[in-house]
Amino acid sequence: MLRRLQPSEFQNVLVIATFAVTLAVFAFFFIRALRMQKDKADHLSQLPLQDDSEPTSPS
Amino acid sequence: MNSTAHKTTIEFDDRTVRHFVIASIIWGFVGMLVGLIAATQLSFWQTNGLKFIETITLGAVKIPADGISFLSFGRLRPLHTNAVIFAFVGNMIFAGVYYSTQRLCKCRTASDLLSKIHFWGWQLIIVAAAITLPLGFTRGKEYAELIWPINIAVALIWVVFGWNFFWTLKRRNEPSLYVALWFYIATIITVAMLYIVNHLSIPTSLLHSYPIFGGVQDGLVQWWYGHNAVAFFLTTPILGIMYYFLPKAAGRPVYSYRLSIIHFWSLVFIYIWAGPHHLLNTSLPRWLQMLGMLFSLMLWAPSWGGMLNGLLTLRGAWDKLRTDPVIKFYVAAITFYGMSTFEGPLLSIRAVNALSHYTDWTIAHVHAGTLGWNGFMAAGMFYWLIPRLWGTKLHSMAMANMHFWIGLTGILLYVASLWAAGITQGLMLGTLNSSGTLPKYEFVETLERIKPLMLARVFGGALYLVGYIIMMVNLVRTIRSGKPTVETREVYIEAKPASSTMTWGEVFRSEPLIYFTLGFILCLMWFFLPNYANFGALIGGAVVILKGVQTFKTGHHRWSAWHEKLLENALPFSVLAFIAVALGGLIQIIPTTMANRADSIHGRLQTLYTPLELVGRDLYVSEGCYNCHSQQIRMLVPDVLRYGRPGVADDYSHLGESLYDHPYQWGSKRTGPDLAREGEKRDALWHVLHMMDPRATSPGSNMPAYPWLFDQKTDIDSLPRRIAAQRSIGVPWPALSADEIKDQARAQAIGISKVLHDQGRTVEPDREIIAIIAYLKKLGTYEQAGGPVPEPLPAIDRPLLRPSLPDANRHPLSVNP
Repeated sequence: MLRRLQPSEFQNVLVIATFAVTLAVFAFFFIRALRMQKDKADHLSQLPLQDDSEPTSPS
Repeated sequence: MNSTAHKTTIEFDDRTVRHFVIASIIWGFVGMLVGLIAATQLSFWQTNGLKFIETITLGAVKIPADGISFLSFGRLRPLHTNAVIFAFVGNMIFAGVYYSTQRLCKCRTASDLLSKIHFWGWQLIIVAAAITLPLGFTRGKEYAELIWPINIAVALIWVVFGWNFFWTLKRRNEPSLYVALWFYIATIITVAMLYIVNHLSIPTSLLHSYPIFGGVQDGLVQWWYGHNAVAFFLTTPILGIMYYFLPKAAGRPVYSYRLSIIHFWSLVFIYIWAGPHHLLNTSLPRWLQMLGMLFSLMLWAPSWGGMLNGLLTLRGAWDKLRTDPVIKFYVAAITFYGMSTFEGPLLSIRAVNALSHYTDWTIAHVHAGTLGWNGFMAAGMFYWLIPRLWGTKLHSMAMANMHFWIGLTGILLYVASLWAAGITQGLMLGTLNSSGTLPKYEFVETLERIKPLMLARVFGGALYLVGYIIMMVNLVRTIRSGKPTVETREVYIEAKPASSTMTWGEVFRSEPLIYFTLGFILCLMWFFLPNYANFGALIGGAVVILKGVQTFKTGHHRWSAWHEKLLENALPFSVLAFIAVALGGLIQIIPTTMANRADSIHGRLQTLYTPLELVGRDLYVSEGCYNCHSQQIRMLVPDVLRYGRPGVADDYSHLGESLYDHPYQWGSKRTGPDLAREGEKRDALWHVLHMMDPRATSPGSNMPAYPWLFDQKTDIDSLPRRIAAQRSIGVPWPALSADEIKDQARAQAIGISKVLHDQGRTVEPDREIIAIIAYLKKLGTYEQAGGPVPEPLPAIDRPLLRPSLPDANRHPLSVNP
């Protein structure tokens, strides 16, 4: 059944292959982003807000 | 506190930020003013010259010229697009990047000297562009018009910017890279790649060159660049600015940092593939069209994820919308981002594109993005930054609010009128007569119909500019009330542990990368290897993936550590991001490059130009005719019936018909009709009369007159150099001596001049108009290439030849006799 996916033209393979690569890499980063620890995400999201007038503390 | 940490005081370089902010504001005014003039020219052709001043002053001021070369639409439109993209938005981006990067990295920009070279180099480039484009020195590719010496300067200055930026990242005192910095990294590396590839040229003189790509290949590379110029110049850096300045203005962190990461990676991976949606229904290979459409549709999700992330950042702070103009501009800008990124994928659906492409709908879409997203983000950033950079308060909140409402009204009027104009014109051009054999409306009838809408567009654009001028006055008064400030910050600096630095070995010999690459290659082999071996590859791929999953289960901490480390090491991160974006271009462009050769073409193959036709073509490019005329009959019945030749089978534009066109001239907008078959349609006398006064031959036309073509002499002497350059990029010119080339050109010019003389019109053979006529008469000529000619496409039951829109007046009839 899988062989039925094989297209007759070389270029069509590229469409499938590129889609697969994109999906796989995107899935990796998607999962990584979702699994990011909350305190890490909070620390990063606060970076633009650190008060200019006060010294920043070491992490 | 860590015992190895020490406190130090950082002084930020805000002088450079101030310079870029001021430059952006000034160039924004210039670029928008030129845009307003160009829009006016589409409604009033007289404004292509200055004779109208004589009329409106009742003869008090005498300026007789009907058409002035450096004021014509074809030359001003590229000036407008380049000015607003690279001068206005470019300087705004640099201001935002320099300001936020220093704060996010908790260090001063690495080199003040590089910052100065960057600033002054960029302004010199803009000045050079502002001089050369109106003079007609152009490469003839949209948003890539600048001549080759300026291209080199752009690349060098971009390297200076990148060098300074990455050096700053290396010296940073904050170990984590905030997501805004990711967007800046993607911008710097991708723009460099796109710009360099699309500007590869062979010079013929200091002011002229030919792109190394031709025909469909050039079209593909151009829109790979053009689309991603929007993505990586007008979108990703502005998103970085949004992720920094919006939380600052709202006083609260971004709604979801996790969503911002997903937003980044999905945009970077998907955007780069979507370029071919600019060439739908054309002779671009179908698989590339499908790829462009598919990836464009996929863009919906990340774009809206980013928009929602921006808007939801204001949760609990919506009351600021009433009082803070900065928030007001940001909310409107992010909403426009959402609207235009909804509209973009919509226009990438082939059936919708059949209606919208080559019409003002595309222009409306682009301006929703540029005026709404870019323009309002810039305004919000200026209103937030300038009081801080000059240590004062905004001069007038009322003026900022007035700017907002006038600007918003202007955008809505502009966009709505062009939506209506585009859809009206698209529908009219696609409507056939009751028997379905001919177009129902003449092209000029569609122009007449949309005239009121075009005027409304001018009014909308003028309103936007008025709002912008109010902002300029407000900001100048703000600056005058303060003094440039120097911002310092005390930061703790920790000695960076050696373990936090990533070596290249750690990047590329990592388990996640190895398992993914190996598994993917083996699975891909399934498609290419012969029987049995392909199953072996598939099984091998499955084994690798299973092994990868098993390794992940036992050692997911190692994988997590690798990823976390990667995100704190700017250079390896940048290399991987570069691979991600380069992959899209390589897979789209390389197969087309291999196929776009004469020996691969069956059926129609473009006939080579003669020397005079070549110089005529270069004049056509120089005058910017491609801004209004396409040379591409799409595979749609209305296109074929309108622009094809009666009685000729399959008379859409074929792949081989533009094989030797450096640059390709398919165009992206039809303010005038398509010219792909112009050669057989009109005689030389018609062209002479048309170029002198387009209304004489086409009543109702809004085309400018080109009187200077009758005065200026054709540059025959440069032809040998031009032909030598063309030979070097693969155009099969026969071996001709310099004298033979010039003699051929002169002989053909004399022939055309004689024909005109016989028809009662005297034009000297050495005038540019003769060369242009030679070129126009050549358009649409081809020969049959060697090898078997494929069967003509059946007109019925062939999706590409069916009308793509349901319309009672259209029938799937045969175009053939």
